[in-house]
Amino acid sequence: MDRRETLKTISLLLGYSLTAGTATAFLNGCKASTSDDWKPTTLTEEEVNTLAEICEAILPKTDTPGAKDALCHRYIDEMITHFYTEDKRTYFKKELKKIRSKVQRKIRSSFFGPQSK
Amino acid sequence: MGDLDFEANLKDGIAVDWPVRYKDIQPWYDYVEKYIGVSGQNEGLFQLPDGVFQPPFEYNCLEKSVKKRVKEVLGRDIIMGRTAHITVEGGWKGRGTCQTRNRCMRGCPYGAYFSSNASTLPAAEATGNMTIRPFSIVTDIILNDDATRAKGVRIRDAETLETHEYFAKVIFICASTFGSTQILLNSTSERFPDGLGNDSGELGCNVMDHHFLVGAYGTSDDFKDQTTKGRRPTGIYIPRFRNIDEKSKMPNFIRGYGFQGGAGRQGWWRYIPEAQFGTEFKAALSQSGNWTFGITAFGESLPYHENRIYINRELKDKYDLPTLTMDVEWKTNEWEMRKDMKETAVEILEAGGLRNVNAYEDSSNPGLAIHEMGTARMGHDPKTSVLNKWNQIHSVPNIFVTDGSFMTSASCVNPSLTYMAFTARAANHAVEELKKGNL
Ligand code: SF4
Repeated sequence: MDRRETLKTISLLLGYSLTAGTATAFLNGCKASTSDDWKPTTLTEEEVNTLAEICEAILPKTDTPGAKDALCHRYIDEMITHFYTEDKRTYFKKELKKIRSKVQRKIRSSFFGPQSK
Repeated sequence: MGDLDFEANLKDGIAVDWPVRYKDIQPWYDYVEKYIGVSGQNEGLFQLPDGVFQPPFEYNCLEKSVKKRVKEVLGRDIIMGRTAHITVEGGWKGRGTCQTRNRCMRGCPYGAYFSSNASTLPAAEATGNMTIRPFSIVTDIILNDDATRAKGVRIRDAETLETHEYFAKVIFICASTFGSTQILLNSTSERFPDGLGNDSGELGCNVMDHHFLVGAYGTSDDFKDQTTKGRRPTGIYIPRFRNIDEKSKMPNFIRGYGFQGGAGRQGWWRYIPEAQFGTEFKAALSQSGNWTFGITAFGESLPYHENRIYINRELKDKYDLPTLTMDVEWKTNEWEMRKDMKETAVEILEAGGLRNVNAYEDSSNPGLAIHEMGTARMGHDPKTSVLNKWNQIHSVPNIFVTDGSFMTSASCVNPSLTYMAFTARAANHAVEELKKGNL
């Protein structure tokens, strides 16, 4: 079974139940801080901003709030801090970096900045 | 559980016979059901006895239609799940009714779902006789000089690592199947070199669990204009239909299995595998998806002597206590049963009129269903069992072991209610024996 099929099976079967790890996060009251002086714990500022852009691309602001408004990136930082193992955290950061550099190569710009000549 | 289960070992000639029958336990099932509140429907099925139930939860439209068709085509029953949820107010001592939110795993703030926090602990506290000593890890049981009676327990304080001793006339060990067995295995003495009460050599053996994670799912194009209201905290159940009588005898395996499942419209999670993003995606997420119906089998496993847990004195935990090693495998009967589970799951959903029916099977390693049982089984004979029919250790009768470790066979139904019924019965027996001066 390929990855897509596996995920499909899981989503068909589980309905709104959650994977054990995510469930633990909920049970322990994992939630994003709404404080103005929030700082990421595991990710760097740069990484968390990248993440925020990715989240916003998936769920953009329309006539309803988007992922950035919902502080998804803060939640993810919180999640991986408390519920991921060290190797999973490293992997997460590595993949994030890959996405960044891929995008930068493609549009030949810094991830956030205007397109360079 | 019914007599199909209590007579199973005797009829199949495996392991040892249960020292009780349904008629011994039935009043205690009723007692527990009345006390904790169990919702469900009486169905008059031999393989799944009736009980004292609160009104059941309701089927949704797709479940109703599949239920009807499956009965017509295959003659098999689909019934509403029976769960420890209060559905009607009154007489529940501070416990409310279920708000159908399916958040029970987080601990029910209404006390509608049974838990000791909501029900039995407050009752115990009200007697004025309850003392809880938290952060206590029981290391072993203290016996009297001739090792015929327990005197008390020794504990290690999880915070200070100090040792304390507590004394009592009667001791109930109910620390989860493996937890209780570990305490007994740890309690060695000259009289019991291989663990307390282990004259039979069966302590820690015969580990059983349910094997599951095999089933099927399908979709329906009907009822596009309907959806569900609320989040029912249970699903449908398909009671065992294999090896329940002569007609249903299977050539390749003994015992049987039931299915748990349910129908619902898919929510946002249907997009998890789609890897989409953007405005349209976001809009689509808020719409209801297809109706789907899924079922998962829960199968009985057999008690094999060599499937066991044992103490590892080399490897210590952070409290400097010996750890437990588990050495358990499924054998031919379980593997043959799984093939049948997979086939009948598809057969049932197709008979129910579902489309795109697919079977699935994941590895279901022993322990995964967290229904471990059998490591201090009850029986008639002290030579082949650890406990007697009242959950007392044969050779040390003022110790009662009342969790899943007493199970002589596994049945295929969820075991908690059975543990509770036996526990209530054992507690009552202990009181009677104390009054008579026998303990
Ligand atoms: S759904 Fe579960 S948590 Fe919610 S009220 Fe019902 S029993 Fe309690």
